Amino acid sequence: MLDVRALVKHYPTAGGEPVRAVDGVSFEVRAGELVAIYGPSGSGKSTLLMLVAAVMRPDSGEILVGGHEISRLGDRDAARYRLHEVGFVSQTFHLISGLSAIDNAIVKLVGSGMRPKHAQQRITPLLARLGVDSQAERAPSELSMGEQQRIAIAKALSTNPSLLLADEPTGNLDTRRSRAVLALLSEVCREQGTAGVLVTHDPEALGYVDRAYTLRDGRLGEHRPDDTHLPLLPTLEQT
Amino acid sequence: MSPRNLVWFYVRRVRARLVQETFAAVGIAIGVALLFAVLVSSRSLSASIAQLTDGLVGHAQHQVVARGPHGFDERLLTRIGSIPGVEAAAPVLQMQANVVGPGGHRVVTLLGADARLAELGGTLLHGWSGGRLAQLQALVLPTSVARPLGVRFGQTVTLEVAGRVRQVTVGAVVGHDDVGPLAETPAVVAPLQLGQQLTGMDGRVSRVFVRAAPDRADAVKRALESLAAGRLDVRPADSEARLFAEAAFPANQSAELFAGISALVGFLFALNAMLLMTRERRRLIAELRMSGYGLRAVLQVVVFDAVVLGVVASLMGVGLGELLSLHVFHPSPGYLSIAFPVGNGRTVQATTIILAVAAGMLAAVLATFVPLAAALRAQALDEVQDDGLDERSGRIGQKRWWLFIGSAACLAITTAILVFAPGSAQLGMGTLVGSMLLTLPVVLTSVLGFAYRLRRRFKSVVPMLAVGELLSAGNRSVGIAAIAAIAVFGSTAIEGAHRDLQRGLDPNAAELNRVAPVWVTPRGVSDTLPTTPFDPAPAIRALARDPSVRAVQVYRGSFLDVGDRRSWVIAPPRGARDPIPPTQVITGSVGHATALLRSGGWFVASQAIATALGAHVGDAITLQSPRPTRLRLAAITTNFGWSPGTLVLNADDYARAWATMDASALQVALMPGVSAQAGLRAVQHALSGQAALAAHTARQREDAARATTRDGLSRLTHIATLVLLAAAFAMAAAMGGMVWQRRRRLADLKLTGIGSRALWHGLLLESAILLGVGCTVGALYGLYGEQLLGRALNTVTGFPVAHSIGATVALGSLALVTLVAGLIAALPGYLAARIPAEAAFRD
Ligand SMILES: Nc1ncnc2c1ncn2[C@@H]1O[C@H](COP(=O)(O)OP(=O)(O)OP(=O)(O)O)[C@@H](O)[C@H]1O
Ligand SMILES: [Mg+2]
Repeated sequence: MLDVRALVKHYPTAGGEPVRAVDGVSFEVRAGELVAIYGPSGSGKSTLLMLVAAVMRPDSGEILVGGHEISRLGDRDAARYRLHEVGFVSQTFHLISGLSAIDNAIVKLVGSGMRPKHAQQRITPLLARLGVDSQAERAPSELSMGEQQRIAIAKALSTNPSLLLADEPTGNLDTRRSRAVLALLSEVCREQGTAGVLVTHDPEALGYVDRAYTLRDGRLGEHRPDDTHLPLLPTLEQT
Repeated sequence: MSPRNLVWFYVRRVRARLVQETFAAVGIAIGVALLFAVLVSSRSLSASIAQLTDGLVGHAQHQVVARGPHGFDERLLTRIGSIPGVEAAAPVLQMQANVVGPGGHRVVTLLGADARLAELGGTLLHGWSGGRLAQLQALVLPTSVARPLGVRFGQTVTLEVAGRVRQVTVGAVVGHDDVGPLAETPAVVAPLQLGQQLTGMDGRVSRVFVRAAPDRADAVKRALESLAAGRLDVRPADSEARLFAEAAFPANQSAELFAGISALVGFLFALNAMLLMTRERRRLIAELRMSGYGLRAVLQVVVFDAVVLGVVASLMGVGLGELLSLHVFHPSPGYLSIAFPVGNGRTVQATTIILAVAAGMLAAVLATFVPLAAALRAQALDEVQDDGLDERSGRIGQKRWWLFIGSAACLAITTAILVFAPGSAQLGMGTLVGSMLLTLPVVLTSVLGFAYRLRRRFKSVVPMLAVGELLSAGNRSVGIAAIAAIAVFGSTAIEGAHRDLQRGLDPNAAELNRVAPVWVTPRGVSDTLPTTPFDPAPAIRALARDPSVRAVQVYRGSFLDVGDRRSWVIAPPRGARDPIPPTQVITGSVGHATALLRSGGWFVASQAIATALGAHVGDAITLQSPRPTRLRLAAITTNFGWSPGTLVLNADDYARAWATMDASALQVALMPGVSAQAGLRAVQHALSGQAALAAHTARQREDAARATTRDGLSRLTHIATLVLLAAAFAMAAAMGGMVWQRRRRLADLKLTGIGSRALWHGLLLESAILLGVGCTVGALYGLYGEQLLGRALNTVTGFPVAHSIGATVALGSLALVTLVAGLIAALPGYLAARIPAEAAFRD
C-alpha cells in the first residue's frame, strides 16, 4: 500500500553543513498493517511523515501510495490526496472550539463535498466505535483530553483513508489513555484495511504494532528489541 | 521587583510579541493623534482671541464699549480719567478692515491706539513708547499679516475700511521677538489719530479700557455705568474672549465630539491588539506565580507593560497629531473672522498635550488590564494556567439579558435627552454609543447563533469554518465588530448632521440675498455679512442716473452684543420683498411678522437672542442699541447660520436705534428686462468713481455665503473620513492579528486536506460577517445619532437644520468601511490561507 524508496530530505542550515533529516529511507507498509517508526527526538520522524503526507517534497526518492507516486504532487493535488487518502493524527488536535465535537469530526467529509447532514450520519458509527457518540454535540472545551483525541482520530478516519499517519498521538495522554488509543489505531487499521504509520519515541507503543523500524539520524534500521531502551536517554535530555 | 529587573524582564519578553505590541501602540497613537489634532485646531482659535485680548488689555479690569460701529466721543475719556480710583484709561478704535498688498489680501482688525494703552501693561504696545507710535503716521503689521501680503517696512499697503480705500505706509513689521504670540494675530495697529482719519471716525473711539486701583474696582465700575448712561456698555475688559467662546461653541462642540469618537476607535484598536496578547500574558502570570512571585510583583510587571505602552503610544500619537494638525486640520475661523479679530495661528497648549497623553495612558492601562482582570483575580494557578486547547478569550453572550437591559436603558436615556434636553447632545452621544456597544454582542451572538444553526445546510466547509472560528474567537469578534460599528456610527451621525445643517443653510443663503438682484457693499470684509457702515449718498446719486436701475434701497446692519452673544443685526429696507427669510421662521407666522416688521416698531430674533432678551412673541423689550429703543418681538427664527444669534428689524428702525443714516449695503432693483449680469455691469460702471464699494449679484453673494459655510464645515468631513480610514485599518489589523494567531490551526486544517481556497473563503466570510454586523448596527445607531445631533444644533445653537434621515450617508459610510476593511483584511487572510501544512509540525 505504502512504498517508500530511497527517500532523502536534507535541510540546508546557516552553518553550511545540511541536516540530514531523512537520509536514504526505504520501507513498505501493507494494507491493514500498523508499522512503528521508532526514534529519538530529532531523528527525522516528523520529516518522514511530512514527506509521506505530501506536505513537503523530498530531495530524491519515491513515495508510492496504492501504486501512485505522490511526492511530486502540486499544491491542489496534494490537498486532495490528503483529504481522500490520508488520515493524520498528531499529539495536538487543534479542534475548533466554536463548533461541536461532531462538527469538528466531519470537517474532512464536508470539505470533500458531502452534505453535512449526510456526513453526520456517516460518522456516527465511528464515534460510537470510539466511545464518544454521546459527547457528539458538546463543545470541545467540555471534553477531556482523551475524548478530544478520539474526536481528532474520528476526523482522520472519517474519509476511510487508505493511509493513516500518526505523529506521537499519545504524547499528551496518560498511560491508560495511551494504551487505549494505540489499541484503537491498530484495530482500526486491521479492520478497515488501512496502512498505518505510527511515529513515536515511546517504547510502550511498540507493543501495539505489527512491525517496527528504528530511525536514527535520518537512517532507518530494522528494530531490534534491545534498541528499545537506548534512545530514551537522549530523548529525555533533549526535551 | 527592582526597576532593573522589571526592565530586563520587559526587554526579554517584548521581542517575542513585538508585532502585537506595535499594533496596540499604533491603535492608541491613532486615537491620541486625532484627539490632539482636533483639540489643537479648536483651541487655537480661542487662544488667538485670548492672546489679542491679553495683549490689549493688560491689567485693565473694565471697558466702556460702544454698541455700534460708530463708537463714541473721545471726550468721554477725560471724564473717565477723573473718576476716583481710575489708574489708567486707554482709548481704542477698532474696526474690521481689509489689507491689500502685492501678495493678496487679508481680513484684519484695525486697532487705533496711543501711548496710554501701554500703561495698561499689555504686550501689544510693549516697547513702543507712546511718542514713537504717535509720530509714526503709519501702520504696524505683525509678520503673520505682512508676510503673506508680501509687504515690508517702508512700503505701502491698501487699506479698505469703513467703505473707504486708503494707501498707508507700513511703519513697522513686528514678529515673535517683539510681541510674542501676538505676531500670529491678524491685527494691524495704527496711531489713534491715523486710525480715526482712516475710518472717518474723527474724535471717536470704540472702547476705553480702564485700570482701577484693585480695592476700588467695584466703585469704578458703578461710576462707569452711570457715565455710560445706558447708551454704552460697561463690561469686563476681557469680554471679547467670552463672546468668541459663545460664537465658536457649536463648532468646537462638534469637533470635540469627533475627537471623542476617534479616541474611542483608537482605544478599541488597542484593546483588540491586547486581546491577542492575553494568552501570552496569562501564561506569564501563571509562571510568575508558580515561581513564587506575589500578586504585587505580578502587578508591577503588568503595570510596567502598560506604562511603557502608554508612553510610547502617546508620544507617537502626539507626533502624528502634530503632523495632522499642520497638514490637515488647519484652524480655520471661517466667517467668525468677520466679527472677531481671530487669526489662524496654531497654538499648542500644554494642557492639550497633557490631555492627549493622559488619554493615551488611560487607554493603555485599560487595554492592558481589562483582558487580564480574570487572570489577576484567580486564586488557584490552574485557573490562570492556559489549557492549551484554544485561546479562551471568553464566551460572548453569556450575559445576554443583562447586556440587553443595559442597552435598552442607555437607549431610553438617549431618547429622554433627545426629547427633553437636546442641549446635552454630548452626553446623549455617549449613552447612545454605550447602548450600541452593549447591543453589538447580543446582535452578533444572535447572528452567529442563527448561522450556527444553518451551518449544516450548506454543502461546503466554508460556512462551518467561518462560524466556528468566529464563535471560538469570542470577545475578539465583538471587539472587531465594535470598531466597525463605532466608525460607521460616528461618520453617519456627524456627516448626516453636517448635511442636514448644510441643507438648512443653503436656502437661508438664498433667501437672504435674493431680495435684490444686485448688492453694493463696502469692499472687503463684509462680503457675506454686510455690517460695515458707509455714507450711501454719493453712490445713490450715481446709481440714480443709470437707466437700468429702477430703485436703490438702503440696507443697514452691524453686530450688537446681547449678553455674551455677538448678534448679527439685519435691517432690510421696509420695501424689501422678503425681509424675513421665509423658511427660517420657527415661531410665529411669516406673513404676519413681515407685515409687522414693515410697519415699524417690531423685530424678529433668533431663539437664543430672544431668550437672552427674555422676550416671547408679542412682548415689548428695550433693545440696548446705541440709542435704546423699545421694540416688540414679531417672530422667532433660526440664527441664519450665525451661531451667536440674529436680530432683524427694518432699516428705518435701525437708523433710529443706532442713530445713524449710514448704510451697510445698497440693494439695487433693476428695470424690467435687465438681467442680473447686465445690471451688475451697469452698477459697476456707475460706481467707477467709488473705489471703496463693490457690486455683486445676489447669485454671487449666495455662492460666497455657501462657500464660507461649506469651508467652515468641511473640517467635519475631513475628520469623519479620517476616522473611517483609521477604523478600516484598525479592523484589518485586528482581523489580521486574529488570523495570525490561529495559523497553527489553519496549518492543521491544511494537513487534513482542506485547500487554501476554502480556508481563504472561510476567512473572507468571517470578515464579511463581522463587518456586516458591525457596520449595520453602527449605521442604524448613526441614523439615531444624526437626529440627536441635528436637534441639538437646531435647538441649542439655533442653526437652521433640515431634518432628514441620512440613509445615503449611512450607506456610504457602511460601504466605505466594508470595502476598505474587506480589501485590507482579504490580504492577511490570503496570506494566512497559504500557510504551508508543514507549519502544523512546528509549535
Ligand atoms: N526546517 C528545518 N530546517 C532545518 N533543520 C530542520 C528543519 N526541520 C527539522 N530540522 C532538523 O531535522 C532533524 C529532524 O527533525 P524532525 O522534526 O523530523 O525530528 P523528529 O524525529 O520528529 O523529532 P521529535 O521527536 O523531537 O519531534 C532535526 O535535527 C531538526 O533539527
Ligand atoms: Mg516530531
